[in-house]
Amino acid sequence: MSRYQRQIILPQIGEKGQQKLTEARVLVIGAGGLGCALLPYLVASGIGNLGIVDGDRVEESNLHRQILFSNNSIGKFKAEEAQVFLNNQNPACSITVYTEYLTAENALQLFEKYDIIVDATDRIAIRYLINDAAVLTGKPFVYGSIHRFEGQVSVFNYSNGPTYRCLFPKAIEVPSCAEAGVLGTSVGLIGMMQAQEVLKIILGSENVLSGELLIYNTLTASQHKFQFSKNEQIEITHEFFDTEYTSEKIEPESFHPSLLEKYTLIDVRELNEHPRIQHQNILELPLSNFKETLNQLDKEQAYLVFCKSGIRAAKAETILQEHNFKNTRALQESASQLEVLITNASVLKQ
Amino acid sequence: MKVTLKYFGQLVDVMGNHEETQEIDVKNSNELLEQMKQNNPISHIPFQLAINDVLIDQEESKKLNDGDVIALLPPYAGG
Repeated sequence: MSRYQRQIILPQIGEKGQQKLTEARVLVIGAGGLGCALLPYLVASGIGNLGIVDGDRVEESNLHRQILFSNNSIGKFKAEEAQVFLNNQNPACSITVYTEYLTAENALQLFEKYDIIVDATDRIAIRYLINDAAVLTGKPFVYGSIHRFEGQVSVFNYSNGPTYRCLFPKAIEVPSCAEAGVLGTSVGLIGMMQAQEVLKIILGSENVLSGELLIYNTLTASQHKFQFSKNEQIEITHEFFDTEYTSEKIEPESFHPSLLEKYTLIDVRELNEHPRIQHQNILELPLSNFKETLNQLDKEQAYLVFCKSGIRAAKAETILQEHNFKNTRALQESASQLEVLITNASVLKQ
Repeated sequence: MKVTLKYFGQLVDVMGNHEETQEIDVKNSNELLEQMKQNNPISHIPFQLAINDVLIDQEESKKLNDGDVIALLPPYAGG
């Protein structure tokens, strides 16, 4: 055990702690910037079992920050290339690679095989999937993410603590590294912080970053911690999971003038937003007061909802469905696009 | 009353700085949010609010006090 001697002499670890590391099973989702930083430290510490999920292949633009890969890795699976490096680093760690993406179909089954889930991905939609699958399988998950020089770190679903949905109940996609830009050392630092939380969870530390969001700015070397608590209103059940991920989502309808004959359109923008579209078949029911105005509508009639970006239309559509409206759809076009389409179709009421 | 506003993530670019102290004429967090959204192009960015380092539920409007530090926290995606 001389390999681990320097950490075993720490009072927080000892022989017992080292044994816990040997027995631990950690699943890392994503072998990108965060994954490449945290994986070698987890392997070096003596963690016994590691899973790596990533369906991506190495690209040249990854190499400035994804330090487990070299020129020879380009075109190969990231998970397999990481495994080559890590096997060489510490053969005592058993590594299983999954050269596929995490999906609603494989998430629950995969999570069952591990004790701790590490989110090293770069998309918010996947983060919700990780969160929900972690809740359903009762696993803590260690979150890290980066926007340019700022990183966020937290641990969710730890000892029945708050989850990602308690922090961000519902978020739309925001720029990733590919869009916003990132420096290798910045993402590396955040990955290392995640690795530290993984070790703390395994070792039973009292200071796991649960219920707290750490934001570290690698440019100004400043950090902030924010407290958040469990939102008991948020219930993640198997039914919720199925509806959210595995049911077929209805895509927004694309506008065609003939729809004006079948449907009544509802503009859910606020009344001070422009352009206003005047048409006998368009109702103006702002989302801010939408529920209160539902009594003006007929549950048997067909409605198409629109707004400026589609977000409020989707919310209004959900409200209508919750109130048992039979035939409602959201339109994908914005109000400005609709104005042009309706004018071009010469059906605009003069 | 005077409050300090702290911006994170994409909001730093939109607001032009990390932090500013402002004299505000609103009573609660909802009014502040509404005013900020009217005066700045931030409605397309999702974010949560923390008052004095504690996240608030945006469905409930919280009373603001002189000297409060209000942080606007968007989720990040990069990895």
